Amino acid sequence: MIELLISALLLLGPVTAPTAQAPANTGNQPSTPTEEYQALAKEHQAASEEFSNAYQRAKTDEEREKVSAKYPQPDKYAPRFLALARKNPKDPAAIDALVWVAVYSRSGAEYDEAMKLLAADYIGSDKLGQVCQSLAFSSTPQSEKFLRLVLEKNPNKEVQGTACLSLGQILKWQSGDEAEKLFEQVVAKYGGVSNDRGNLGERAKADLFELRNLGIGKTAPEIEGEDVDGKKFKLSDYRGKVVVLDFWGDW
Amino acid sequence: MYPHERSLVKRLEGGAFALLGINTDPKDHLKQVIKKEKMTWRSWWDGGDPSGPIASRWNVRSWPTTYVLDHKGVIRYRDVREEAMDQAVDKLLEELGSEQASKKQAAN
Repeated sequence: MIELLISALLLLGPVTAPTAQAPANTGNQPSTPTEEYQALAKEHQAASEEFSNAYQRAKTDEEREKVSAKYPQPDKYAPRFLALARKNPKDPAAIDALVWVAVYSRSGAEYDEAMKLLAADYIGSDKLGQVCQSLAFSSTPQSEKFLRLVLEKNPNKEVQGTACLSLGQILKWQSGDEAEKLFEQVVAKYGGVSNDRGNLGERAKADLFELRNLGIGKTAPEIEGEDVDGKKFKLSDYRGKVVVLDFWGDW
Repeated sequence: MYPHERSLVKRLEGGAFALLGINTDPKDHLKQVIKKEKMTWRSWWDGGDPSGPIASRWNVRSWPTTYVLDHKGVIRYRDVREEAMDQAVDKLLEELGSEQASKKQAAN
């Protein structure tokens, strides 16, 4: 469980909330929707930082288990973000709040509602890149539909390219032919576009390699390298044996 | 992960099986884990970083990611863990066994 949690955190990357432009908040009480959004995002970020510091300080599995119980569940914050968006639908903070729920919450009633609102009212927004990025790990019909809608309606190249790549990634093992076309499209059309995860074209090329060479029934490509003591060895040394390859990290 | 892998490796010791890791940790840390967890199987050290050369080539985006290959080096299963991994390995060992048996028969 802890392992899964940590990989989920790593996948999310640095904990940065979508930023809204706003004048500096000098008072204690948020007075505009944007300030309210920022205060909420800050509250969650502070809790996340406190959690990750405590986790790093924990020395035993038991301690880590204890700290994990205090993980600031995004689901607890989601209703407040959603309420903010509903109260101020025309304010730019509404989309930031919905994006927050979509990116952090990832399931549940609030998530479903946020995705519904984003699709209905904000599908052309240039702030949807992060949402499209996180959908790469969610292969539900709902995610697929959302990404197709973005591809069709969003005019922003980075958002479009990210949606195209994510759609390919969730279709990779269920409709390989379409996924291949989507990855090729990313290389051809969005090859020069980068988001905070890097260059889209390079990532699509890596997906194409995986799709063409790392599926069930393909001969595994050679692996050559060194063990921890600097001794060289390669995968083909083990031909004739059944092999489990385990990509792992002791996080 | 570790206890299961330890028992899998122990159970199939001396058989036509190998567990091979591709590890993303810094070198010193990897050395410690191997010792602490009594790992008898080998891992490639992938540069101390999740975007190391092997993980990048294999397009690994979440950890752990696993592949099970048959004795010919063909990918037969992806992302199986624990019991499912045991079953996959056993099935492929059985396949290898019956292939060897029929070859022997043909030779006789």
